[in-house]
Amino acid sequence: MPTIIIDNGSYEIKIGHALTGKKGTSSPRKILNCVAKSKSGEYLIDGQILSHSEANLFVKRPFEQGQLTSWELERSIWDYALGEVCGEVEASECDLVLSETAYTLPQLSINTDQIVFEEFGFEHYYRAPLASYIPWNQSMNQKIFGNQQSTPDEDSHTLDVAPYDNFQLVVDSGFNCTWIVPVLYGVTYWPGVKKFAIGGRLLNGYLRELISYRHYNLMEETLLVNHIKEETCFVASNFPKMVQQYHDRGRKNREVVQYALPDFKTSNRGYVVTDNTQTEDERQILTLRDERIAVPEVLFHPELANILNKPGIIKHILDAIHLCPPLLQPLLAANIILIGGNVKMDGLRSRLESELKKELPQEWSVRVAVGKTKGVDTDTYGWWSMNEFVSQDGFEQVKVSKKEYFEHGSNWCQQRFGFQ
Amino acid sequence: MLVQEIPKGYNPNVYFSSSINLSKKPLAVFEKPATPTPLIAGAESDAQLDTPAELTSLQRGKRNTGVVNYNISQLSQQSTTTYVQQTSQATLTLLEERKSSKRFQELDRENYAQDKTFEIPKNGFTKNRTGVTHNTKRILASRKNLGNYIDELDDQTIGLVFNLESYEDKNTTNKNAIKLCSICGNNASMKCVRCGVRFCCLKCNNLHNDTKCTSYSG
Repeated sequence: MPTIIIDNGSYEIKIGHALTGKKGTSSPRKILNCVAKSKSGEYLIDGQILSHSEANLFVKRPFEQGQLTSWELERSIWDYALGEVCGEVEASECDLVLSETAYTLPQLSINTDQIVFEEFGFEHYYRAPLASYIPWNQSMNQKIFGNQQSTPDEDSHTLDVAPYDNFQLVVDSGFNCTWIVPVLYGVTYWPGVKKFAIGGRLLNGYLRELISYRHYNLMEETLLVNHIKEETCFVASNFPKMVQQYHDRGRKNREVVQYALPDFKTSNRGYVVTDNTQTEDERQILTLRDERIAVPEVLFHPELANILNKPGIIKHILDAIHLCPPLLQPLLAANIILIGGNVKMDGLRSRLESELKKELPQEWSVRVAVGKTKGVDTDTYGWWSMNEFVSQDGFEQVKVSKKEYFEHGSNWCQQRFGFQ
Repeated sequence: MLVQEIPKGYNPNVYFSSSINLSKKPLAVFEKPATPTPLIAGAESDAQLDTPAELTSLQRGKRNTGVVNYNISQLSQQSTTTYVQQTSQATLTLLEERKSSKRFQELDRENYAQDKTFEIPKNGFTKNRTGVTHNTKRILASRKNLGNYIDELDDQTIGLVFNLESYEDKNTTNKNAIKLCSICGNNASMKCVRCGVRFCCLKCNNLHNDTKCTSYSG
């Protein structure tokens, strides 16, 4: 029986058949988890949104603050996604492995279960927060920690021990917010879970405002701004110094980027101007300087965007570590895994590591790894972990069948999968 | 007050009593208390107590005062949430707090202008789904938003789900804060005397006065 794996992110759905054995042969389909409406009243989905030759799309998502509230929308997107991936095979002949937000409201989880079994009619089913799948992915976890050139301290005690497969601190920085989830022995440690409210969407908002104030008005162009952010932004290693460099006159700065805005005739997403691209003269050029580093810096210093009531990501990670049992705290600090689309920004790993090293006790070794190997990027790392979960028979042991569901009901299902 | 059964799998001899003030003491565990207290909870273990006199007084006390059983996982979760609440000390004034959260919502919004005419496409894109069973019909037609769902929650779940963010410590606030010019984004050491927004040079100051300053009348 084919198994379908859905990583239901608030920005993109990562969906695909479970692959056993062969790795990297095909990757999951990414489908935008939204419905857009154009000015002329057309409703668009996934590929249509990207290829739509018109500005000012109104975007509506089934997620509100990370919670899946609107199944009216989500069912359309799932129907489309399942049609793309499964083709002729009916959903009722498949199994489903699903990811959800940590701390989903119980009522919303129950809704999901009911839709999965009663509407789509999947045969077997399991759902869990994305972070709890990460420990299944031992081979990749080892690889990303192995790739990383951590400075071998002679005094450190913790690095000598074999890889700590049993402890992970998963930092899942997505579109909606950033979750910091300690996973101990493969089980989510709920009291230690922290939510950091800043995610990709807020960075988009900040960049949108900066560009609109300094250059062109892009206040309506959410999707374009998102693309500009993905193409140009990176995390500075030393922010105040770099800002100074950007503002030094007379100094030729290589970090300045020129971005050609779309003309909606030949392309509708725009591109970064490099030496190789021929620029047409009529293109509007956006010159980005310190915006490139100021936007990701909001993760560390929300006060840049005038948000004074939230501390940065470092404080959240520290709090999550300190809420865990004291003996395990050094192990968690040595096994921080970054996943999620927001982590794609360059320089985030080294910056996080250096900042955490400053705050944590000196004798702890701090290791931060980005969930990125050959053929697997940070946003699909969670999906590949779910794939490992299926191929290593984890799914076989915990799945709930349709028969069991109709026998025991949806509350029983929530008791099995829920956070309490 | 919440009345909760002790779930299976927990040691029935370990109890928590509602007489403990959770906000003052973090946790207190009684293991078959030696001295009888009037507020020991749990009907099943009454028979294990020594004398019948104690038993009756216990039962009476239980009926009159409405003893509450908590289970252990809840309590440990509550203790973590109280930990968070303790660290959340008011470092900002109410006005600043409100301004910040308003600003957060402003930036965190995806569509700049609200489109009131957005109707969820009824026919879907590939299939028309209106629900097969009673439950799914209800879900697919509900049109509830997050606020409606939150209204239905009990206090305990709200305490769990919405208490996950960290708060700034009193000592660390503003120590490492980065100060940038509101106009050009350079490092800025000066503040506007009227509205408190930062700027880096005279040129930016003039620009700020002309465009952004909220309380400039010259």
